[in-house]
Amino acid sequence: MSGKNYIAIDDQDESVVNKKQYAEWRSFLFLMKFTEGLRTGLFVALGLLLIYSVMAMLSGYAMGVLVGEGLAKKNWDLTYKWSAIVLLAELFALSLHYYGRKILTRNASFVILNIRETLFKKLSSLPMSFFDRWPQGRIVTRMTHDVEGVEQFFTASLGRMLNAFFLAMAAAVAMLSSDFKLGTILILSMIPALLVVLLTRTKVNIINRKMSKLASEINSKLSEYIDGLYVIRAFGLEKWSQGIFSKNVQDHVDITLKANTFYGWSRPLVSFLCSMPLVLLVWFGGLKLMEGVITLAVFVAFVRYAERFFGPVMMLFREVHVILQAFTSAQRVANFLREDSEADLFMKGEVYPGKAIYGDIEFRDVWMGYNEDSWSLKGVSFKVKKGEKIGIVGTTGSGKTTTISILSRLYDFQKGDVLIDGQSIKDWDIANLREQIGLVSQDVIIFQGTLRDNLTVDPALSDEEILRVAEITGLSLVMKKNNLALNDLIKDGGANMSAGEKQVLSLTRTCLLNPHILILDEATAHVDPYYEKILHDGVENVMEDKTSFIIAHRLDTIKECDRVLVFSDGKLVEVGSPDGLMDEKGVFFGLTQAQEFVES
Amino acid sequence: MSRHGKYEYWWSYLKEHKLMYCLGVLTVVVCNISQVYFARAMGHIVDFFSDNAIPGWLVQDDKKSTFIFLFLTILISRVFLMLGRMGWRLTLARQTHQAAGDMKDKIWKNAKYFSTADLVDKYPKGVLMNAANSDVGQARFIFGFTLVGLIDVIFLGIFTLVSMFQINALLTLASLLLLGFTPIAIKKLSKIEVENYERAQNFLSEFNDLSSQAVATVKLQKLGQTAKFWFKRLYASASEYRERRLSAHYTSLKYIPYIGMTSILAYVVLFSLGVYLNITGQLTVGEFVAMQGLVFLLQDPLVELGYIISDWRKSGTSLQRLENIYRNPKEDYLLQSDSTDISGQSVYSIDNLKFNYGDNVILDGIDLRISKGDRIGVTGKIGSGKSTLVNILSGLERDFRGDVNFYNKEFSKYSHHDLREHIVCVHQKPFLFADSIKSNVAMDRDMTDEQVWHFLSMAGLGPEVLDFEDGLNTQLGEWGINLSGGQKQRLTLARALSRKPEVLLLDDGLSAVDTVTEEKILSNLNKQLKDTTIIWVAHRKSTLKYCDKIIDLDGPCLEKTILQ
Repeated sequence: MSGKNYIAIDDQDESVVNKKQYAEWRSFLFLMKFTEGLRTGLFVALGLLLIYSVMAMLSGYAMGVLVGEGLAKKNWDLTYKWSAIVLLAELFALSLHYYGRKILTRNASFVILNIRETLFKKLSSLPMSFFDRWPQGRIVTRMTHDVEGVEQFFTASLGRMLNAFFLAMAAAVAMLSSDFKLGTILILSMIPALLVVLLTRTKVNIINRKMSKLASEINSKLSEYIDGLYVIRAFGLEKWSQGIFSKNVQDHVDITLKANTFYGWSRPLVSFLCSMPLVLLVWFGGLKLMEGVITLAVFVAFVRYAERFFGPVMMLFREVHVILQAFTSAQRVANFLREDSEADLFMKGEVYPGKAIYGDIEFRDVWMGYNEDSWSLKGVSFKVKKGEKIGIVGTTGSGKTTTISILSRLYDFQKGDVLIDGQSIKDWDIANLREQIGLVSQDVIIFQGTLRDNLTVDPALSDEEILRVAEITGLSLVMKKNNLALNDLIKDGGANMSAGEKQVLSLTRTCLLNPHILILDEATAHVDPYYEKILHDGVENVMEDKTSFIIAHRLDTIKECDRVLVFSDGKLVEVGSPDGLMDEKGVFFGLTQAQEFVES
Repeated sequence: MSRHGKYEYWWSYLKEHKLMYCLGVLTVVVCNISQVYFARAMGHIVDFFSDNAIPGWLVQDDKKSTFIFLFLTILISRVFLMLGRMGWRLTLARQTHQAAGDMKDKIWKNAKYFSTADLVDKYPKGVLMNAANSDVGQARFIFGFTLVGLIDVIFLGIFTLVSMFQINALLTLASLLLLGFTPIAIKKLSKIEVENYERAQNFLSEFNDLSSQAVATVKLQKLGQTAKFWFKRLYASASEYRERRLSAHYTSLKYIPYIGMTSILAYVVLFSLGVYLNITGQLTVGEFVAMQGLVFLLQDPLVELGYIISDWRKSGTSLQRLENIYRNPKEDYLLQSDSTDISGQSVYSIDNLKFNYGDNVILDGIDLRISKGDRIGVTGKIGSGKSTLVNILSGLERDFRGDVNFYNKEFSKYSHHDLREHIVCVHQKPFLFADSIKSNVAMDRDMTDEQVWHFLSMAGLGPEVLDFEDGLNTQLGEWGINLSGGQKQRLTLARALSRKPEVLLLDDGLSAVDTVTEEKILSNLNKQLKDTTIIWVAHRKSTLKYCDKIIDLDGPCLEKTILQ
């Protein structure tokens, strides 16, 4: 179904990463939408931080006056006065800094919550075809890791950076206003450092991406080997697995060491270049002092300014990759949010709001393909009346599952029409339609949680009601056998349950939704005879009076159907009662012959 | 540092890389000397311009050359600082990454030999994954970065203090007294910070699990109309996480007033005692400026000391957890290398085999003789012990009672390697590696494409693989294509056949394959594997039509029914 070529390329894949589907800057602006309602708070925080940096500069200036005019000239009154000013300025700056950052962080945390909320809504609105193209792991990464990347930036780095930025700006202004020429020289002396940062930017990016890719490869290898340890043991692959794992680890170590060597020279170099203003200050400032052009007070103040200038700038340079990472994460999240939703795909025109389904179904010359290259259904037509039990048979890939997926609107179809009670499902409200179709499929999804959580997410459903339905479906037998209560934990993937038990659980889950149309998709494929009997009885109870479809490989399960649809190669080749089809000696007869040959 | 207990690996690693560590310490010291000199030189500059005395060795013939000389020492100190920093990154920081790799590697080196019981109860996947990520991530720091910090703190602290004492002892003591509480405060704060982050982080993993579940159950949500419940659950979880995370951030922000207050205290000392000493002529203006610089230089190691103490403790805890993994007992039989010859006609002879799982009796007194080339069927309800029997027969479950002889000897007489050469099992749950189809068949062996095709077609999967665009190189797993349940089972069968086993155990390995295909495969196997002993487990009797003997584990009596 989902062949290799149809998997969407990861937007971090090297082949597309340079094409920039959604420019990094623009995706960041896109995320700014989520600041709605929080902007006042954010502006207040920014204001406080801005005043803080001004205060910090003021303290530096005061320190200069204190030393140059007070101490050096032995003017004690001035000394006391400016000491007090320095202390007050520092105290005030401290409070501004602290509260500014606090307010910023708080508001940023709500921005992230907004993003998460939007992502959750997006997730449930995406069509099945999207999930075929996107590997599950990648979607999970978008929902978790990438949001965390943005979060990390918003709640932790952003405050630091804004601070650093304001401080550097304030220091620059202070320097320029004290002595324009000297200030200009000092600011311009940062250019070499800036150049090194800009020139190594791409390299940093590439190394970081490689590192995280290799790190996650180690993780998936380890996870895979732990899952498959029973196979590794059964085939004696211990050494082989170690060889591969060690190689994965070594690859990662190699790239981190490469990164380490790279940072080993680039970081100290940038630090060195960042301290250039201070060194140049000693040179030019010293010369000016000797010429008597500037005073000692100005020189000392300049030293403080320069310290407060190169510190933040160095921090900004160091965190450039954090910004880049945040942009990348933001870009991925933005791209994910732009994917077409089910509504975009299915409900283009006028929407039929839906109604209670009676149960008549008609397929009219339906054509469907999962991709553009081939058709999975080729002109299928049939009619089903309310309450009929319809069996669907055919070999793997003949179109059985596709037919059912179309009926539940998991996938769209390209040609023809499907009618329920005479109404086309093309414009039928999807939520309303699905509410009334229950499906028990061969893949039972079970997650870690209580049995109750696995049966229903409706807290309004009483234990009595659940147990009543469990009685009908046979789940009560399973619970009795395993000594399982509604509030007992079930392991992830149902690790402590057999295939049959999972199927019974799945059937119960569906029945609790009280559907009008019931679909059983190869529901008994993995089930041993003991549970097959339980399931069979359960299904019989549930199907009473409902239009139902049963897909099964084991043909004996179909004997009780009113009619059977026989599929072959995407076409409906035979329709009729099981007995009638046997007499026809067609495809169905062939299938049953193979079966009986095996059973005998 | 203790040579035993949790630091054993750490200590042996350090000893092994002695030279690197000595070099590393040297480079950090170079950094510290340069930093301290730089702060002092800035003071000299001020003294120089306010016509106060500067150290004799700096004084040159005239004022101008003294200035140039002074400037050059400043420049050189910056250059040395840069070189020193490069030095420790290339020596000590390197160890951080190398040790991390080593520790990760050791996890699988050990864990793959753990007993099944340990893997379920003590070291399930989550614990091992956590060890490989968080614990290695934390423990690695004391191999490099934390050491750099420690050396830095010690030397920078000492140098700074010495310089300060040289300038003025009284002022130094006063500053030290007031700043002395810094490491304690920082340590405390960092402890709370770590706790808060852990609380947030733990919740984050739960929240991420929930998100993965939400993604995994999308189809179910669509069909069951449960999306809105999921949304509620996720949103509540995200809100809770936001609060926890924010409280952790708030704790981090507390460093601002903490460290800020130490600065202000330093100012108070300088402005009271420093100014007083200046007035009374015991401190020049230049010395005042230098002291100011040095006090702030001292502030850094004191703050750093707090971090290091808490970092060291965290790393120690992680290291302990890793050591526990490295020392956990391993299954001896998996490591056994001495073996005896495997030959004869009697493949299995089993007498009174019993197996309990906790209080549950799974197998109760089974007698069985299986000869070379036999086809044996095993059937029974779920929970009747079919899979347990298969595990015992394959020699991978040794915790049974009774006699099980494989070619007339106990399993313990054979090496793991030899047993695996002879016995191959197809499990009910098909597990495939995230690799190509070819690699999944060949695994650790070299095979030509022709050989792989041969085994694929024997398992009835040939035509389907031919249809894949990439054929044998088709990738499986998350980033590749998804095979259907039946295809997966047939691929695991092909993999088993490719080992050309003497004994083939099929644990309901074709349950998801449709009957027509299944029949083809079975008759094929029966024809082509004349000499192979095959044991089929199935709950459908149709699967067992080629068997000579069928054992029904649901049979009424102890000896179990053997259906002829």
